[in-house]
Amino acid sequence: MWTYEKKLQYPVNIKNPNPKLAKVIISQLGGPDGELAASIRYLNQRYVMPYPELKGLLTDIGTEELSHLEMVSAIIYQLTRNLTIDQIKDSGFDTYFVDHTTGIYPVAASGAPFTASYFQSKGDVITDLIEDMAAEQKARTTYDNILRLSDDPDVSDPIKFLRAREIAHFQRFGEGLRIAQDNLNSKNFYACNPAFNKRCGRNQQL
Amino acid sequence: MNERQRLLKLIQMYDFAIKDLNLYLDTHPGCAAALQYFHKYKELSAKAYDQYIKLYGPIIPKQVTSTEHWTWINSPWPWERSAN
Repeated sequence: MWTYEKKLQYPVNIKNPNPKLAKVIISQLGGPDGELAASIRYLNQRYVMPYPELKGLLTDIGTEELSHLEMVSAIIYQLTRNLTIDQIKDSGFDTYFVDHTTGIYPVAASGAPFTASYFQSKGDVITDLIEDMAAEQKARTTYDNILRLSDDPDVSDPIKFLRAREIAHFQRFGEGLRIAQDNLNSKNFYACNPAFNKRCGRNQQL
Repeated sequence: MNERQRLLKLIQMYDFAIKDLNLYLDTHPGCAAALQYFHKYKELSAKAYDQYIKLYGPIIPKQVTSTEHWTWINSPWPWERSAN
């Protein structure tokens, strides 16, 4: 189960509203490589993981992603404070505003609503961990692109923190994959799936 | 029911009482009686946690006490039958 902590993982304190920037950053909330997809991807995948290191890693990273969801939401909230109707129209934020006013709703920058088809839970240890590694790199690229589009240091600072976490998670998932492979037949990692097959270990033949 | 299950059930009961009081207090922040209950169960919960952690390991990562081993990842995990 979970309990809430009344603090952000890293501070978000943005002086100037900027709805145009909010409209692209929202992709890290409800977009294809966003924090919501990341969190539920890992928290769903963890159940059938066969090794304690991987149960722990997916639980702990999935939990950290929830705090990133909150940080991205705080950024969007602060970027869309006290807007005039002219600011909303001129920035292109009107297409979001018409459906959500300034409420926080998980969509991609394109406006496509969040969908579970952004992630998989394949029930196969190697498959899921490699998706997780790719997901961290895709999110890192998205943060790189957000940094290319942001000219506000108040925004770029927490975005740089989130970007660095993607890299740390990628490293940990890579180690998780190594741990899984160390438990499997080194001549054929695909001889069996330890999340499904019984007695799937180093000596398992195809 | 073994000793671990008994202690876990106590923690679940106390923490559920705390959660339910939490919700009630959110909409009744001036209710002294509910606040008193909250503090009573908070104390009971803390005692049960102390016992459980000492014997069976951490419930949150910050409760790891070992300086030799990272006991956080020890089995069972909550979704496994043997944890319940």
